[in-house]
Amino acid sequence: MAEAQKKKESPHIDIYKAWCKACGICVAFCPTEALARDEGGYPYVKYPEKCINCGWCEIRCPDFAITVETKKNGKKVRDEFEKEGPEKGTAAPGQ
Amino acid sequence: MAEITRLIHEYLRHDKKFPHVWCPGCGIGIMLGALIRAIDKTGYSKDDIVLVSGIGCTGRLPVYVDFNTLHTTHGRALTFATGIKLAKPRLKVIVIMGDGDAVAIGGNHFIHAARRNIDLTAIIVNNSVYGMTGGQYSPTTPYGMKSTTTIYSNVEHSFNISELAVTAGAVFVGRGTVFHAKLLESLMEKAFAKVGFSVVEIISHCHTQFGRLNRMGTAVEMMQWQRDHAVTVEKAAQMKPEELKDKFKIGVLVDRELPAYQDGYDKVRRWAKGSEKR
Ligand SMILES: Cc1ncc(C[n+]2csc(CCOP(=O)(O)OP(=O)(O)O)c2C)c(N)n1
Ligand code: SF4
Ligand code: SF4
Ligand code: SF4
Ligand SMILES: [Mg+2]
Repeated sequence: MAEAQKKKESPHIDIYKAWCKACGICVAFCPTEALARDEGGYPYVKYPEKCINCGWCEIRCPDFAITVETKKNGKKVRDEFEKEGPEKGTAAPGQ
Repeated sequence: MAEITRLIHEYLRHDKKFPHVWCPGCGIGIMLGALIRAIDKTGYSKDDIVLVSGIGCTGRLPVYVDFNTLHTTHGRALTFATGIKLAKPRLKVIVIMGDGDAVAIGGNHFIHAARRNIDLTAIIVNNSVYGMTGGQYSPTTPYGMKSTTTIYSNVEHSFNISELAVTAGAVFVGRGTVFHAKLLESLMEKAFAKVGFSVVEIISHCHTQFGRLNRMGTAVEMMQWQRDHAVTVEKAAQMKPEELKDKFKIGVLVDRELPAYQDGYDKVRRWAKGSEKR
């Protein structure tokens, strides 16, 4: 039950393959490694529960091909992540 | 679809061919996203915005967005923009240029637009080469680096676009990178709010030309380079010169007040017409 609830709360990520050029930017800079690349280099959501809803994949995609739905609890999840692993830095200087 | 992308789609010209023409991972697409988000925040309507560009990979940008757009000749975007601004001062005129556009063939226009302090925002994508025509060196190719026309090594010293803008008189100068896309958006927002000549320099990557020749890797690796070599203005102030040696500053480099060209020009017009005494 707890597991199911957790899953429900993970942000919904859409990848629009028709526009995606498999550049790898979204995957490379995802702070939690929620995303991975398939054999063709295209991104897919490997661990939806790891996503902290930071939105960086969407902001850095040069082709507007990946979108993350903003969740209300997003900030709380991110703050927790920052506390645990600030060196990974979703809020690194200038970002 | 999530909010950010929905917003972007509101401004795209859906009758154009997508995905767009830029190489996979090219920073120009990231910059386009930041530009749209920043323009949306200004509160201007689509019809109040004019995007003027020259020629180049960067110069193709206005083709994809639903504003008043003008795709002019290489290096002359600022001259067309100057004409538009003087004829229709109420329009928000934004000039999109590559490094070649802005400081090679268009270098003279650039320094004089800054010196005049004409109310335009210049957005310059600095990818260190002429991307569109095959990776020839530009005035921003760093000393010692390779390009298709400097295959051994570039033996010319490079321009620092932001410093050039500061020296020439721009009232706002900011520098960002495509890696720091949120900072980029906020710099553009600040530049748009400024009256006078404002400049945002964007350090981007041309991994297919410059990157490949200089063995700098993929788009991802070049963005990692940006992340590791950019230092915020605030942080740089606390660092020693030797620590800053291979770094570049990002953030607001200059924000100052000077009378804009239009104000003086309007005054002269009133004097000449006799509607106001000198
Ligand atoms: C008058 C003129 N000279 C030269 C060219 C050829 N030309 C087209 S784009 C370009 C350079 C583009 O470099 P840059 O402005 O840095 O843009 P990028 O493609 O790198 O974004 C050149 C030299 C031209 N189209 N017109
Ligand atoms: S929103 Fe952030 S954590 Fe989630 S997939 Fe995108 S980059 Fe990764
Ligand atoms: S950043 Fe965009 S274009 Fe690149 S792999 Fe991810 S979704 Fe595809
Ligand atoms: S040639 Fe270079 S600048 Fe032009 S689209 Fe490709 S990567 Fe971008
Ligand atoms: Mg260029």
